Amino acid sequence: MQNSVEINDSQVKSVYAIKLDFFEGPLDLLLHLIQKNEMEITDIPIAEITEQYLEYLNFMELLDLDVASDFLVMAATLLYLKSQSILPVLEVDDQKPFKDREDLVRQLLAYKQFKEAAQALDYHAAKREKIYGRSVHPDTDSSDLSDVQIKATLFDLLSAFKQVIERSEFAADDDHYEEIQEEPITVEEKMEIVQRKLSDEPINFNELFSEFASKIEQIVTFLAILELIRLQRISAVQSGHLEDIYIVRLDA
Amino acid sequence: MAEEHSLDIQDSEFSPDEIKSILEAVLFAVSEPISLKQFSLMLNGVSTRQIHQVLKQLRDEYRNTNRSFELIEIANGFQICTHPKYHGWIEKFYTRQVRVKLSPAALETLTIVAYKQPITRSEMEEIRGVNSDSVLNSLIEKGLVRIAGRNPGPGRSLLFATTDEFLQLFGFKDLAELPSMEEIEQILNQTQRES
Repeated sequence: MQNSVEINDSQVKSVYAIKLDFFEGPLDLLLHLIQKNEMEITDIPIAEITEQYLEYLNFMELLDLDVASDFLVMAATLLYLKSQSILPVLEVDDQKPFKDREDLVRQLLAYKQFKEAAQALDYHAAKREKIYGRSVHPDTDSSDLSDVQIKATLFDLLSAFKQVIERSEFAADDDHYEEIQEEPITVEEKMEIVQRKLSDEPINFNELFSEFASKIEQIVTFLAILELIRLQRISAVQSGHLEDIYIVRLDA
Repeated sequence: MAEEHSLDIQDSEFSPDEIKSILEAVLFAVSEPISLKQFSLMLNGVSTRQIHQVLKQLRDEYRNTNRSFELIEIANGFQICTHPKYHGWIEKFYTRQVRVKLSPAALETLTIVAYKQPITRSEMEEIRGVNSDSVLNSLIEKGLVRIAGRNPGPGRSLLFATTDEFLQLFGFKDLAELPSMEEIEQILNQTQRES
């Protein structure tokens, strides 16, 4: 007989497996630890940093983060350096399996330089954002709509959705049928349906809402659309504010 | 010198004023930076040097008359852009298109390519200490990095370099404008003070 508890445990684990890019790589983590401890790169206490590094890897494993092999290679390098610092005699003139301390320091210094350069570039990009050329929007070129499109904002989407709700309330007012409990539908299911409805042609926002659906279902549809936009599977565009919104597929 | 230029222009089929108006009209209508070479091809017979001179005149004209836009040099070309001090007003009017928002990993990789180009995949990974394939691919997809050729050495590995779109996105005229070590330090100090 299988132990069902264990299965459950692994299921729970996979559900909570988060993939966070805490650190871009082992060098990033090392730099972080060095800065946190206010150490000098050129003078790292290997034993101490190794301990903290391994502690961090354990922590990442505990959270079920995907620890990339590069992190493990660095751990091995650190352990090797640590052993060397304790038993310096051990250094036989064989091929060195790992880089030595100087190599690591050099690599860290170079990496730090590029990280800082990246920050400087980011600053330039932010400055660049403040100037505008005449614009043709390359982002929406892929859509088949002939006229110039702009991205619908959340407010545009909300007001369009409000109209949908008002319309269906109006329709519901006309005939006082008794409400029938519908089978509930999840946002995930709706996302599937919305994506299936979208072929290569853009589709009017309103067409994604069935006139006969309940208010709850309309809301679920709307949430599904927002989620798909967030995931960048679809895009909501319009030819101007207050104009009709069209949904286009992005992952064609 | 000045005489020589004016003579050159008189030799061509356009008067200096005509050239200026043509350049201005094209700059006004076209949405991307235009290089001196493109202008020269368009106005066949007018040298890039002359065009550069006229563009400088235009730039000074806008500057001296306090226009809300300026003629800037960006991505190996020239473009008319609004002055940064008006960006708040423009944003009130229209929401900017989705920008290419880069992840920290992508920005880091792009920076390495920018400063070390042409660079191989393994050189990149040596600096970052981590596999960079997927980040690199997404940078290529976004048009910020291109394959610039192959290493002549054994293995003939691919070489990567940045594109004009990269210059455009970060507001650089050319690669020589990438911030130097001292400038990077200045910027870091400044942003630290601001935050």
